Amino acid sequence: MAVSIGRQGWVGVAFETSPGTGGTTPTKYIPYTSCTLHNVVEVIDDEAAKGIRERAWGSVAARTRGEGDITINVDVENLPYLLIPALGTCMTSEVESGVYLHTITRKASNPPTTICLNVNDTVETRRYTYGVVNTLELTFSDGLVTATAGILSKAPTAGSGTPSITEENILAFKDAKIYFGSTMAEAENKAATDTDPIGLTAFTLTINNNAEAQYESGSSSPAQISLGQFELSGNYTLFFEDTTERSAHESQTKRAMCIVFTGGSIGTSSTEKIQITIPQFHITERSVDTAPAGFVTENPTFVGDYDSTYGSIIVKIWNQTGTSTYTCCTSSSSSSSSSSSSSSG
Amino acid sequence: MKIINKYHKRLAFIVDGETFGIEAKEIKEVDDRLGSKLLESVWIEEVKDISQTKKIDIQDNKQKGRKTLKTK
Repeated sequence: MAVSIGRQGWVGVAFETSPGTGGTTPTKYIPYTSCTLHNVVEVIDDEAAKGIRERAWGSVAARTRGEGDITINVDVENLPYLLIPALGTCMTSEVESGVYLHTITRKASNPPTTICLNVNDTVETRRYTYGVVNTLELTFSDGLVTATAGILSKAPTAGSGTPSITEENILAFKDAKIYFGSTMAEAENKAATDTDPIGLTAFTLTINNNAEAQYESGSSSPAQISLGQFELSGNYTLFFEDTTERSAHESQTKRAMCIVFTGGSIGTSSTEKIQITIPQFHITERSVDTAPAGFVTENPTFVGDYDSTYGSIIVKIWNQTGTSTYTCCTSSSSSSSSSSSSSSG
Repeated sequence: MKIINKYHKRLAFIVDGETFGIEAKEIKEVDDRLGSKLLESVWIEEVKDISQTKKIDIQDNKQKGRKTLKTK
């Protein structure tokens, strides 16, 4: 027997072709800072009275499922494995040879877009099929940008994998810029021209699918996992220098937000980029930190609204991975290149 | 065996606690034990030696020729 340290474990991931099917061989091994994915076994004790004082006479394994969180440092190649299933719909176009633009939006229906995870905990490898990203929290303050995905899956089985790691440009707060506008067009235009970015000291965006594992007779593992109501929320912190946020809270001003993370150069003339657009949001709470020894900051909490034209969130990611790997993505007919992406990594 | 990395980036494999690096589109010769492990990755493919395949074809043709002579 030999002991191992946690960083010798690994997580391999691939998109499933349909919930619970395919994706058993990982296409990407995601470097993580935390992984708590495990088999949940709800145990029912046999507590029936049988003439003696002992409470338990045995037990039955009842409902089981895979459940836990994975936290990663954000980059343009690994984030899509968590973000695409969190939102559900992806359209891909090739902007230049080997460079792809993925436009990710919220899926309308309840069946999820799923991933298959092979998780090695240093002792064994277990496979979590029907992997649903129930929640996703994207956050940064004065360090790296991180994403934490709350995952639900079927009960794990024996898994496998040969881990291979790629070097990516991990993103930090310095790579993030946030733009506000009274409309989505204004916020996006500011982002496109890098005009008037808002200086934030912390930012968090939370996607919650309210997914539920549904059990049926015949199996202790979920028959299916379905998406519930969709919620988009977050909060940000900035130095208290004017009354803009206070006023927006009090008068419930609806604004648009565009968050842009910029990475390294790819292709001949492209840049790694993640652009998150929230067409409309409103502030639900706002606190002011007036600690005597500190600089005064304000911390608005927001909720993303549904906009009948644009929906509630649009995420665009520019990277070098095509639809042969992101099998759940649909190739857009507006692709600027007619070359096939079948051999793209 | 010879293998090729079809991924668009360098892959660093971890096999038995050691790393094995292969650049994007690079072809490398590895021993069969390591090669069979690496082939479990969707991005690694075995490269068949084309010149060797041609030799077999020629030998086959020669064999066929001999058979023809014997028949006559």
